[in-house]
Amino acid sequence: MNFVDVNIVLTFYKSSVTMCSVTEEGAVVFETLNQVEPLELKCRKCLIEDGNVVLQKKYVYCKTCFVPMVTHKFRATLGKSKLVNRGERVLVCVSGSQSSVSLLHMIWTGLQQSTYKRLTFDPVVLYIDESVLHNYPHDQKDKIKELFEKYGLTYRIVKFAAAVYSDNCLNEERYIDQYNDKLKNIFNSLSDLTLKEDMLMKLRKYAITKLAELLKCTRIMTAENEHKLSIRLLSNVALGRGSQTSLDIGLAVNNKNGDKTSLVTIRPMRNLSAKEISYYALFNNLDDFMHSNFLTATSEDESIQKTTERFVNDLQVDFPSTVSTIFRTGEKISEKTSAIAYCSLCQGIMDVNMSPSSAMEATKYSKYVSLMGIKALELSLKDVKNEEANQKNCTGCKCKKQDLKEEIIEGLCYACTHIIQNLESLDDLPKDILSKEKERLQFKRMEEQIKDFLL
Amino acid sequence: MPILCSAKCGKNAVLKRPKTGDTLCKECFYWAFELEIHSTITNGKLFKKGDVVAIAASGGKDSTVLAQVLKILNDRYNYELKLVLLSIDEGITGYRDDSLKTVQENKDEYQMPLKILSYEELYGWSMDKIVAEVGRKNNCTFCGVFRRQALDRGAMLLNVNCIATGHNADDIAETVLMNILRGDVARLQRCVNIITITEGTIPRCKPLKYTYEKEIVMYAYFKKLNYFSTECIFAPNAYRGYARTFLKDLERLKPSSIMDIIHSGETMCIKKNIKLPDIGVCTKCGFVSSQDICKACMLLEGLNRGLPKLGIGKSSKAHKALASLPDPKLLHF
Repeated sequence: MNFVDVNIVLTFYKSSVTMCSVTEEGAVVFETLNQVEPLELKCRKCLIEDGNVVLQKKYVYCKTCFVPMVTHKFRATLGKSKLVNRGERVLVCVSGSQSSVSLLHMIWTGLQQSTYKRLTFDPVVLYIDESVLHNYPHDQKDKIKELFEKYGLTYRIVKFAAAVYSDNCLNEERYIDQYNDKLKNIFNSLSDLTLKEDMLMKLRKYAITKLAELLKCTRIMTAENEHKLSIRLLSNVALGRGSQTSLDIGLAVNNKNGDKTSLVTIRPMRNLSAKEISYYALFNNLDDFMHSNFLTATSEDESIQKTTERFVNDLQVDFPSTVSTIFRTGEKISEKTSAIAYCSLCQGIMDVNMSPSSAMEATKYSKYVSLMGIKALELSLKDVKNEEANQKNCTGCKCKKQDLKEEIIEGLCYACTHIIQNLESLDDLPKDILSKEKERLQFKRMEEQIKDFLL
Repeated sequence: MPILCSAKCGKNAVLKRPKTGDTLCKECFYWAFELEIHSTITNGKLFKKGDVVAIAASGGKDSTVLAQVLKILNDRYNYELKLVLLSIDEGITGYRDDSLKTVQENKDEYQMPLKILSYEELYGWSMDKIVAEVGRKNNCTFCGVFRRQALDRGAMLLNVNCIATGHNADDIAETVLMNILRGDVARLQRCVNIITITEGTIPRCKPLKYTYEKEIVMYAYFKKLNYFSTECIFAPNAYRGYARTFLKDLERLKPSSIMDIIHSGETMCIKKNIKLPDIGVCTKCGFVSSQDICKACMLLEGLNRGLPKLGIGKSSKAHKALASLPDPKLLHF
């Protein structure tokens, strides 16, 4: 690893062009800097050592000063949140990416430090094994296990399908084949890559939340960096998830309002750039593992997420402040405080009570008007719904299924509706989601019955 | 086998709607297109009976279609509006002079009064002159800032209740993206409003807010509407170009992306503790501004003093530069 010195500059993380296995962090392209403008050779911090890293094309750091600088940023983000208490159980999610192995390393280092700087929470390291969906080397799980053993922290390796479907996924793997099939069914019936990836993100989140509860953790730490979060913000906007931004990129997301004991997701790496993390991993000899999603090794023209990634990366070349500007814009966006309903699939804010003049209503009207043509003038939107409802009063089983789908969709946010509409069957969804929905409908019916008597 | 119109009118379909993917015949498409705008207008409560509405007409496809559709809807659904055309002549030879001819034709065809205001008479500078001074870079800043105020001035002269602009769904989605990229949270919230009301100015509304650009072109194509479609001869706004290409890529992948982005924009909230700029009035010209001296006055001041770069970039820098000049009181308007 001695190929890093001053005249080698990590210029830009243009993803999936050179190495497809590291799409999430962006593959690293090394390029020799022409000695046009000689840079300072000494580290700007200690002024003694020769530099090893150049940040933002001008700041030179030596290895000894760089690592503490990065660690400090991580500790500052974590400390500022004031969200992790002494002895609290924290679920540390490791996907195998460079970011996540670095997060693990930083936490481990923090736990070893002398008393006044020591991290005092109680980490539980989690690896969700997604090998059923992606082709991983067969020894990957063992290697991850080896890594976790080396750190000597409490850890869990759970199969994705088990985490999604089983209530007892920590202890038994009895129906795993069945679960695997269910999971595969869901993704196979979504042909669109954009929706597939969106669904994967939501199910991952669902699994992590569930495991955190099972493992009695009250905090979750994930390793997304600035670059990744900016791309996520922009693709969220493109998917119609704008109102859920703070949930998906925020530093700390409380999943229930105000309650101190509720589950909070913390993203302590969010102020670090992909480049800083790459070098942190390099200097600490951290190996990352293959971690895929449905977009790995796909073309940029096949999914919204990948198109967004390319757009941000390209813009970053010409306008180096792109990522941080997007990221800071995202920080200023909050969820609606008046929100009362949450999506039963993604737990995001529901966009209820939209005014009649909104994109949502306009889209419905477009669909209606192009089916009704000139008749649209005589009938109003409501009449059509009634008519449809009357037609449906048959006993056919197919209608019933369709009805269930429509009822479920009512409990979903704008973007999740797109996913579920494309699913052939709802049978493979985790049963909590379905039962939550049934509960909601039950309450709705009760309310309907007694509404005239409620004061 | 020919495809039937999805509105079940019995005719063969001639087009696939870019917005919904439905196949429609020409007649049903006209209905769908016009009814959607009608529904946008009524749901958004854009106009009141008896309003005088200025249509900001550039001669391009959006404003030409807007004028046509507003006229049709006004007659058909008794909006009781008085429609007038308002054009701004930036003074760009080879571009605006040609497009204004189209507006003149619209005026005769739709029998609407037309008012043309020029930069030359408002500011004493045409864009041709400005470009000669500033160069090809940054001249869009002048044009954009001046036009915003020019429309307001024109609308005041015509004594209208409201200005209708031809912004379409693509434009709005693009602006949402742009404002995220630029980190402009104040505008991010404002840009998706269908009516923008600022104190001291005339309300503006966007009846084509939910109409796809592709469908506007389709409507103009089938109705054989005459419009002017040349790009501005001065350098196009490069940064917006990036957002535009990105949006087109998204639309190709998923046609509903445009609406999805507008939906995101409509549902995003700004955190309460974020300070947004205060809106006041310009101390020089009295128009709405978030600064002491509005951008238009600043740019104009730069031009008149032979320092064309003065107003470009941060306002704080311009203030400093202005303060260092001899005799800052000697402002010429």
